[in-house]
Amino acid sequence: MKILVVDDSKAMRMIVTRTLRQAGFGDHPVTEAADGKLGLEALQREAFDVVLSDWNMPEMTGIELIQAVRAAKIPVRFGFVTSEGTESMRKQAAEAGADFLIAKPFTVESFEMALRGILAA
Amino acid sequence: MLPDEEIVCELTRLVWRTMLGLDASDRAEPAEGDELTTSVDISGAWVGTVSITCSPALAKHLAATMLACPQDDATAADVRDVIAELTNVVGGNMKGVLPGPSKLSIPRVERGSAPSATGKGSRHWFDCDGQAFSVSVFETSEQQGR
Repeated sequence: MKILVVDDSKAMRMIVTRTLRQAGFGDHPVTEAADGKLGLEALQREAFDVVLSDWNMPEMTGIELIQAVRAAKIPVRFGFVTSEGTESMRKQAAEAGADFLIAKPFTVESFEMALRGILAA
Repeated sequence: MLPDEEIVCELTRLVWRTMLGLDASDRAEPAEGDELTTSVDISGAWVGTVSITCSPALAKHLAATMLACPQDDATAADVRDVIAELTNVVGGNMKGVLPGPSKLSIPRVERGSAPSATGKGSRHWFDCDGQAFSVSVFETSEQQGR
């Protein structure tokens, strides 16, 4: 399965990729995008199975990205990886069509739990 | 209102442990010398700023630790990126315990100390591998109804 990691922090993109590997999902190819706008361009150019997106980014936020993805009917599972994991943010994410939200700081176990049903399928 | 100091400490220790694998213990005395400060603003039902201040040397150590590379390989851009992300995570979690709804800004990195601000605030010092850093929370005004 092809994974798109969208985060304006290069360090965080690296950590998300490393955590995917540690969680046993290292066989899935990962592509990176440095903000929502670049993420959307990647999704319009190429088919991905899963998006792991930050929320708070310049150019286009994560919530704007998922809204654009759902409006364009791009078929992709979408999860947030964000420092803002409150109930209201989770509700907003779910209402926008997100499949899951992983709160930062995260653990390998939180990746396993969120992605097991998707990437192991 | 300001977040309980114990919550600030717990959140900071959690972020340091989970993202860096490092301990952040309490420290009585502040750092001296050159400082780097990264801040995120929270605006909405609560308005204020969360800042992390540390020496450039500690920032480089944190960047190398997070990127799992030798310190010499961590570029200036890597250092700014890592401390900005640490501040984003501490600030984002802090936002969750403050009155909402509110928005979190993109982090900004500046030379110098944390803003002492005109409003209410607190600053807590930590020790990480023998070097000092602080986490500051300053409220710039009470509810603005935005």
